[in-house]
Amino acid sequence: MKIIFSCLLLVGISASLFSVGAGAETNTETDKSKPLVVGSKNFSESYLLGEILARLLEEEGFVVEHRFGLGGTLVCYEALLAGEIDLYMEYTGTLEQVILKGSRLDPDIDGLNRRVDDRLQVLDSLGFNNAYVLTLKESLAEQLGIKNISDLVKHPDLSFAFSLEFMHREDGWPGLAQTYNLPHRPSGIDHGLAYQAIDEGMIDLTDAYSTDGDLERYALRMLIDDLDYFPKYYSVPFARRSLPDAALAQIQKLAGLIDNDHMRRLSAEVLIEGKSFARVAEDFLVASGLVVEQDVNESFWPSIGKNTLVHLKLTTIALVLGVMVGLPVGILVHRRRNLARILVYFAGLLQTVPSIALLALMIPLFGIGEVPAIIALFLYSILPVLRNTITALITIDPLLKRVAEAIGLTKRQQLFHVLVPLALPNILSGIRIAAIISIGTATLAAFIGAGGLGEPIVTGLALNDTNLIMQGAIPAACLAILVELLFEWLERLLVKPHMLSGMLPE
Amino acid sequence: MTNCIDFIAVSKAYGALTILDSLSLGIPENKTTALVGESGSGKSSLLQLVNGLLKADAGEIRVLGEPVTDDNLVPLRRRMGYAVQGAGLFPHLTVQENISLVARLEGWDNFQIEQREWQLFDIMELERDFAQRYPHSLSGGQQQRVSLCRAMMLNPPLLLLDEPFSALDPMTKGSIYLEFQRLRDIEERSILLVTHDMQEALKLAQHIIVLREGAVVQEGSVEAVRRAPADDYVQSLIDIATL
Repeated sequence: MKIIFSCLLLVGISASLFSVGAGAETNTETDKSKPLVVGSKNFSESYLLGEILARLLEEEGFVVEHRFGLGGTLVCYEALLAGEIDLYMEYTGTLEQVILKGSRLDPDIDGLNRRVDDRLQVLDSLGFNNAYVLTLKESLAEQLGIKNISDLVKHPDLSFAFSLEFMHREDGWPGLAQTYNLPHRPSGIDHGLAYQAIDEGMIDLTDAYSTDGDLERYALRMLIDDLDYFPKYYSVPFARRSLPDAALAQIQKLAGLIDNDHMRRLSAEVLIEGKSFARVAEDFLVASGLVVEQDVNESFWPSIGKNTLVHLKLTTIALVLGVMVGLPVGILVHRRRNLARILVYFAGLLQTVPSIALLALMIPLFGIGEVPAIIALFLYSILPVLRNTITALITIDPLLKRVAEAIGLTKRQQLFHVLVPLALPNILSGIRIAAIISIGTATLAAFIGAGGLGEPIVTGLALNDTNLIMQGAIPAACLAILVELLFEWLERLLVKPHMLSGMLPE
Repeated sequence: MTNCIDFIAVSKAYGALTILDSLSLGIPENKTTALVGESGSGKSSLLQLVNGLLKADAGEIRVLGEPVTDDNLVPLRRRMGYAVQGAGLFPHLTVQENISLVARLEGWDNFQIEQREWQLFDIMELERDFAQRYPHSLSGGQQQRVSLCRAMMLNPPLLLLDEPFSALDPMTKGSIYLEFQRLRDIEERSILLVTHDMQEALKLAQHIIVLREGAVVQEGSVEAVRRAPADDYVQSLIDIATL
């Protein structure tokens, strides 16, 4: 499941390259009542740094909104470009390779600033370099005598599994294999799952970030990049130029404050000691003398109830819109075979766009949050409704259609008194399918900051926290069952039992 | 004698297949006319041209004194009862709802509907408690009786029957023939019965038109056709029927 998520994520990221820029704004006036939106990617370091940024801005009196767990670099970047978020933590290497499509191994901040979009700015590094490292169990490394990446050549039978992003990035596996002449054939795995897999001995080696708290947690050895292949990934705040000066000054206080060891320790506090991101951020900022200690709202994760309600809201609005479009359009076009076929193909085409890709495509058009999520879910729900409506209407017994016409019903009367009632069981099952798809797909909406039951899932994936994942997955499954029951009841209410014969196992 | 239906030089083809080629004929008013022919003779197409389910390629069709056009199709169809092989009752509606669907749309009140319904039930010898049942729970013969009731509901001046009895077993056929004859004799109207069965035609009709490959082979009263078949083909149909 997690692997599928990451896979979709990757496609989504590539798809969002179709982006278009949004309007520029150059307001640098300090208006602290206008909320600043802090984003984060969906892995634990990014969450933690996001909390640090947010807390620091709050200390200066800004109203801060959190948009955490966004689905990857390009989702964050697009959101920043579109002004949906004001800042998030990025890495110099990622800016160079992924955003600017450059190939510098150690890009400098000034150089990056000259090349990024003129509405955006890269601020000074926090100090640590979160580069890719290859990592394997300390015990295994000791046993085989592996210290450097070049030692791996001698062990071609080690099983490698990499995050999909690493497998395909310019500065990931392809270049690495070439530089070190590695013969291995790696498989893909979700980064969060990789540690568990390596711990259980299912894989031997994976990619990691040098500041991952998990490296300590699982007693893993980082291999030395002896040919100096990996580019540098210094952590930098990436912000809009419209960021108020007072906010900018606050953020700049973080420059040079966190080195690699420090970052790894902070991550470990979350991962190993189980503290909340907010708690660790607060403690760090207090210790650094940047904020005055405050009570931390430890119930960082919004309640299941709230997530469920948001989830229900997203899916219900999308479904109602889907039915409002799919049903009338299906009814209107069912007599025109070719038009109906074209529409079903088109709606089917929409369906084949992976959900996370569709969500990513929404960002340049509609930003992030609930609106693009609802639009994406709406697009998904059209096909089942449209297709079932059309199919149901054209497969009605031709004799009944002929009779309906011959006894003197107008076209409209034929529809409402004969065709639609006869098609109703199939139409309802189309709506039911759309509803179930919506509930499942809506868990991905968390990647674009729409909240819902995907939020604990995404955060849980980042933290490799099964409990958290379950807080999203179980209510989502319950919702799906509830919807099934609701539709069974609706069917019984609207359709005569003998009309359902052969349609429903009773 | 006036006609309830007039075909004036009507042609109809499906692609390269010609069904009717400049056919002219008249169906007499207030009589039961059987249009007899084998499958492929064009008899069903002819009937569907009458109520506008098919459009003629050329020529004019006049029904109940009006030319059949797109504009008058719905009101005209409500003056033409229609019953088909297989009954074609709507499965989601009760027997009563099936019968009264168009009457309700015409604005009939419950009293009018019930009166007419029981009248027809009596003629067709249908039990009253069928009214609230769904068609799937009725036998084929009962369904066909209900479909005749539906066709007769608005008391139309013209009744179009497209092989309504063909799929019934001989026993059922026998009794439904009797009810049909009663219906025919109680209420005066024009009836066009399309059938492949000359025996049925001789039994139920007063006037017979024999159609072969889109052309009229013979037309005349039942007695005339029986007495003097126009050719060997008609003779053979009668021979089979009277065997």
